[in-house]
Amino acid sequence: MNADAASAAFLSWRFEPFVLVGLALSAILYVRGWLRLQRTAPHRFPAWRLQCFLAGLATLFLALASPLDAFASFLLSVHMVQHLLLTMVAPPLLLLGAPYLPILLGLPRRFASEALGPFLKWPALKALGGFLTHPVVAWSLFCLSNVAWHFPAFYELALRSPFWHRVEHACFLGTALLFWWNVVLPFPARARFPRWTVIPYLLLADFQNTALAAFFSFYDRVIYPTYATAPRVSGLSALADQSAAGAIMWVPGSIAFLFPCGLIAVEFLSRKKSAPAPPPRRPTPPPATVPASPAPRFSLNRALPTLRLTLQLLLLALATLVIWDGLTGPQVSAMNAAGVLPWTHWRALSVLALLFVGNLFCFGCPFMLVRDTARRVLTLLRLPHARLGWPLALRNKWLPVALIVTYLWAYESFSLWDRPAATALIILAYFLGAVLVDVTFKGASFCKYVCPIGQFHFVQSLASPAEIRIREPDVCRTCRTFDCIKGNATHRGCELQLFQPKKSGNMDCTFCLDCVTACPQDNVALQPAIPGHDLWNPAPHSSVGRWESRPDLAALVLVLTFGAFANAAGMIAPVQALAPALGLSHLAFTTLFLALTLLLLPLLTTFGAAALTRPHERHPAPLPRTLSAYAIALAPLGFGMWLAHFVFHLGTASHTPIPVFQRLLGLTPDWTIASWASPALVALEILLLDAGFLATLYALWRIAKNRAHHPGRAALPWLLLATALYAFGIWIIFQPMQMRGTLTP
Amino acid sequence: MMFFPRKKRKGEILHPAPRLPGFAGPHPFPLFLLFLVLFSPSAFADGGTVLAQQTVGPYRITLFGDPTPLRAGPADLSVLVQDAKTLAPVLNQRVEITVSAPAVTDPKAEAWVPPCCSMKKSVTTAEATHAAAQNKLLSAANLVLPASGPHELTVALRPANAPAAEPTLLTARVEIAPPTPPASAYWPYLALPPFLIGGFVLHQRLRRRDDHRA
Repeated sequence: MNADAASAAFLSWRFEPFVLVGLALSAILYVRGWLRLQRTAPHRFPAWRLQCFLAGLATLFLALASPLDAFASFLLSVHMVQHLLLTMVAPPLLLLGAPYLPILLGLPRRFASEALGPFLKWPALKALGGFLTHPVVAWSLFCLSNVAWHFPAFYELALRSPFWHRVEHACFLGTALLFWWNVVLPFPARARFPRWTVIPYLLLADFQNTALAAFFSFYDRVIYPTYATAPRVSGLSALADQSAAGAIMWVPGSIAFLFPCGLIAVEFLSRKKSAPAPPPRRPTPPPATVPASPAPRFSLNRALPTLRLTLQLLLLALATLVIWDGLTGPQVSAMNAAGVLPWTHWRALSVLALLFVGNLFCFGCPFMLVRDTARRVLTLLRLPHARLGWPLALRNKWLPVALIVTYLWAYESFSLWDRPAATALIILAYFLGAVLVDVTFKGASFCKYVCPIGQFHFVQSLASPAEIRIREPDVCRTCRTFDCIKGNATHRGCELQLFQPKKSGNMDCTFCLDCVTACPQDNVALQPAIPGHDLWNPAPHSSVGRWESRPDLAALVLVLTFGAFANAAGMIAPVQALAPALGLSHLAFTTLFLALTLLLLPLLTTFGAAALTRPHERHPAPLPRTLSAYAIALAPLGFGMWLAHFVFHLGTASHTPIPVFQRLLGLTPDWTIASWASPALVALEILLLDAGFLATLYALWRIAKNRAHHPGRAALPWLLLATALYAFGIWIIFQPMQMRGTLTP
Repeated sequence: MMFFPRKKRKGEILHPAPRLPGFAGPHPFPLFLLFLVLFSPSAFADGGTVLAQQTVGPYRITLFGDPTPLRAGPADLSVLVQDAKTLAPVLNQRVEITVSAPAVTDPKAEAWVPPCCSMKKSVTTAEATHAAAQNKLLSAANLVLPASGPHELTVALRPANAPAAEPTLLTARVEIAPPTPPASAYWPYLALPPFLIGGFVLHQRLRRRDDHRA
């Protein structure tokens, strides 16, 4: 192999996300738990255990991602090295790290005790664990796996199929972990037999290994047809390669068995003659230290307002660009910033932000920046503004529900995604609307009672992993100024009337940070939260009330949930083929389709489900209250569908802004650009929908548990409704879809 | 490094291990975690099985295809070019793969293509590159095989610095199997909710039993 080819071979790494995430997660959990154990049992978990575990993970990475994997189907000898790393090197290293306690302690405490606790206490699982780690069973499984997978039929199957190749690797690693378990005895495991039995245990395994290795080394024909036909990329013939594989299995394999065997024998023998143990060392007191002056601490609270202003300015600049290009640029969506940025990238990035952080769109809302500027200008000019209260009849979510339905209808009927000028005008109208409403009415009336984008983000952020809430309840109990809601001389309080001590979840919270900056005790902060925990919280929420007493909120959730499916269905081939089949115009069909899916279907199904649920309630309430209490749980399912839909567009039109910016900068645009479209995108879409579906099922079960004698029976109609929607979502994902925002039809 | 459980020395106080819910004796929990790492979903990697191998002019050309057998729908095709005499890998060639398929007469034979890849549905010629390959000695390309039945695959090699030169051609006839239905192509993701729901039901039963015992 020449130098170029050799360097190309060494660059043949594969960074498969699932392997990387799995290994990184294992490392993080172990290190987290190990650090905790360092405080409670440092002598049991010295640094070498950490080093061994991390070395074991690194070995796994080397075996699965390095050029060893890339050349495994070309050279049996390379494949053998990969298998040796998986069976002889990684498992003992991982077990020397005694991973049980560190990983368990590395998990979130509540997850470990409540989610895993019942399984860990399950006698059947304990018995299975005991059975599998029994020396006879572990030895037999290890040898059986080693021999069976080397039969030509099985080996060829693994070479042909990625799935069976993974099964093969899992068998090797799994049985090797069981095998080495009895050799290493990772704390807190105990030996089943006298320790000297480990020596024959290892020697017998070595006999099996030697016999197999000898067969590979001395057999005079190529055993595996794949290697007979594989192109020779090294100087070795197929037979020589097979012999080399046998030698690798024989020599390093035997060393892997015999080295610990010798070590145990020496340790065993030297133990009997060992000198008396040295007296215990008294713990030395920690050296006296001069108290240092407190170091300046980074406060996220202090940094967030600056971050918010930066994001607002960035989004305002982009909105300006979109308006200008939408009105003056080419009226082809894929060639115009107004056709690419808001409909593809902004929508997807804002829902991904909801998934990973929270309501970052409202956090960086450019409309509020313009509104605040307008209010400041009017204050400077001493003109009256923001004096009226929002009309009482509209202090609910019915107006945004109507706006969202109208938007979804207009989007599909007039193909808004393909009309850059209309998009620009909508954004312009949005700025004007926000300014007009909020210079007329007090507080953030536009955000709370009008803005459809805000309502979308409020509902989806119920499943976000962060929220603004108080740090210490005791601090709020002694508070008499209530700056978080009333404001003070320098900072305004919450304009959406959310009182922090009584606030729960993210509904109506714009992440504007007014409460954070107003609190004189620095007791309000952006903090992690269990996603969706507020969905089953029956307590009244500040400025929102109880879910069951808010049919308008239930309507909002239902429109956004059913809208997620209707909006995605609008771009698939079978639905688009319906209009000509029924002899309807596009407008008539869209109107009929959305009336059915956004209004009639939600009404019928949810009232039906509520009627079936009601008899099982502890305190049967009027039907709308029951409906409102359960409907909120459908929000994560809708969120999952929005995520799947928007991620699809982001994946297929990922690179579309590049030629648009090339055009705007006066460069020659290259419209034939790449994208992230791949079969893996479908898998990601399904995973996102899976997550939303499961979160909805869990929320429904928790709500039913709070409200009903028999949670299973009470929740069943809703579970069936959620399952039907999920199945519909999967069907949509598998259909041919329009590549909106791209130059592909 | 100790393979024996450590023995308590005289007078030494060993800190008790932190108490954990339900721990008593060996438990292979961490094994399951590592298993999950390995059961990553199948990715499109170059390689697969040899579809054709031939010495054409100064080169020995090997064409690989994945999945095995090749099915209608997305397929990963890769090419290894070697010097015919020395078998040293040749990396300075521009490789183009073309699929010529028969006209689809049976709708069942037509490929199901993941929606996001349907934009590639009409692409039956692609440039295979080293960048797209995991094994950098190979040149790989993802193509969409439009239907099942006999196909002709053509590999055209041209020197990278002379793209207009007369190509070195390798032609292979392959039988393409019927497409994989979408549900079977993505079954691990579809099996996830029933699996987790089953786990949750079991969890609740175990918890109820623990509560009764308590």
